[in-house]
Amino acid sequence: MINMMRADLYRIFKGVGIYIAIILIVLMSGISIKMKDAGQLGRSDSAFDEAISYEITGDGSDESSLLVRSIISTNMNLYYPLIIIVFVLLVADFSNKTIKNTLTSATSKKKYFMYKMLMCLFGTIIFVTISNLYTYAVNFIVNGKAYTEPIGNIFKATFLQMPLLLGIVSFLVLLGFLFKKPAIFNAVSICFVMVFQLLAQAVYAITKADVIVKFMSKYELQTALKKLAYFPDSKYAVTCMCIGFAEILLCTMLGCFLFKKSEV
Amino acid sequence: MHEIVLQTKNLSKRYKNFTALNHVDMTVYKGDIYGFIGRNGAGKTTIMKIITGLTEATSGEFEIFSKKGKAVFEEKKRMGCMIENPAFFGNLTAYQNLKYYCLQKGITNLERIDEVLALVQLTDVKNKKFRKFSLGMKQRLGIAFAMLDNPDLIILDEPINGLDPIGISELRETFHKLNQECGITIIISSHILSELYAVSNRFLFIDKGQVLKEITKEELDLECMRCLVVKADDIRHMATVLESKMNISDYKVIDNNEIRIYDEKVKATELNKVLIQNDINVSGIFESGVSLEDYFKSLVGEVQL
Repeated sequence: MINMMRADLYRIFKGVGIYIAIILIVLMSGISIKMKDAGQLGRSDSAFDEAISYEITGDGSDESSLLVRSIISTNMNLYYPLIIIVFVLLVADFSNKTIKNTLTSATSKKKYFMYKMLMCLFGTIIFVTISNLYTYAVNFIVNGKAYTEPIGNIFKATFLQMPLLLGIVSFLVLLGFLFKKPAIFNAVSICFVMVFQLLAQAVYAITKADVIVKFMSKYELQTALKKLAYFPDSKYAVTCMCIGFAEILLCTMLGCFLFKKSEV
Repeated sequence: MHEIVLQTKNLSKRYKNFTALNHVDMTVYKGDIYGFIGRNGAGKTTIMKIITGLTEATSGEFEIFSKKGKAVFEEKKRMGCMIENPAFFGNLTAYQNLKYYCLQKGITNLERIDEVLALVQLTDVKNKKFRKFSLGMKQRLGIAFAMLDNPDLIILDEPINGLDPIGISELRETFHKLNQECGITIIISSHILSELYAVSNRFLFIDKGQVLKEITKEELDLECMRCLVVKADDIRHMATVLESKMNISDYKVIDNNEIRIYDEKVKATELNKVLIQNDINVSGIFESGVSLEDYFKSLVGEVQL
């Protein structure tokens, strides 16, 4: 497994995919810091945001001292760079058909699956942590102490968000092994988050039901990442962690089973 | 007794409504250059995929280096493979692609990359990106990859495809060199009969997932050679007559009713006369001898290849 990791790192840094992901992070965090406002992908329904904002801050008070964490709270933005990570680490092997070379000479299907899953999860941990620390460092340099809080809070927010992000990456890995072809993987993984959000917005727009808003504000991915950045109560954090780990476990078991049965 | 490198027993692979392999039995001995001959879709690649772990057999089993089941995968380091088309990362050069696999396999001696590139005459283009390679160059890089880890067994699926005549000739020499000097056992599939004949010493004819014949080169030569086929009732007596009366020693007893004579000087009329004079009831006598293509056609039982 160490050998495969060394080989993949060698290949990844010879390609452009990883640099595109890094540039995306630099741009997204840099613009947010400069504008002193956390941007986000996806929803733009003001009523929806207000409802969440009220739940997070209680009274919608000024969040300027929490600029970095407000940026971290929009870590759903990392979804697209995370697709790139899964693509570079896994789907590229399918699209180039180089997986045959690996499976015929280096490892078994089960070990290959486990390695790719672990590598993608590990890559996510590194990527998200560096992204958050980069945001913290640049904010400190550009905006000064007024917009800075203790670095421990950044680590804590990162730690709380991580299981859900790892859960979604494990789902992307499952999609990669399931579809194999890059076009289908890209189409489904990019649309996945949009479809969910559009559906949620549509339901809210039609029903205006607080129950749905509250349900979404609880465990919907984007909302949960937002709440976790602001340190919710332990029961909520633990539930989110359990959801993330359950997703990893489910995707690993299902993916491994399907891949072992499939033909390369 | 030859050491068995690969053996399959009743190997079958079925998809929903299609049988890709049907009870395939084959044996590859150490030092063989073993040729899979079959039309497109005959099952050649499926056998290779099962052996290399890319897919699972529906039933049956196989042994590699006397290991079977999960233990087979421990022997992967002794195998080098190129299944279907050569596949590498297009954005990496030939050298970088091979280095990637060196790192993956834990090969620390990176000089091996230059050695295998030289073996397939790709040294001059080692810094060229794979996506800019011609088909022939891609094939050769695939063969270089298969030889990267000094394997004991190389499995190559249609390695001749896309190569020009000089490339084919060079590759043939490379196979012989690897086989004779390095003692590497090679399994090659192809539907180009003449090329496979030129490199292999044993053959497996396969069609529609079924083994038609497993045969050595000597046996194939005998089957295809120009000869006189004599059908008679007393083979033992006929053999005696051939040797004592006609001084013919270059013949082969096929079964209880048939002898094939390979001596080109023997004339059918004269032979018939001598046999009758010696009280042998000849039921048939005719000339035979087929090309490889015709031989394969006769095995498949169809006119069109």
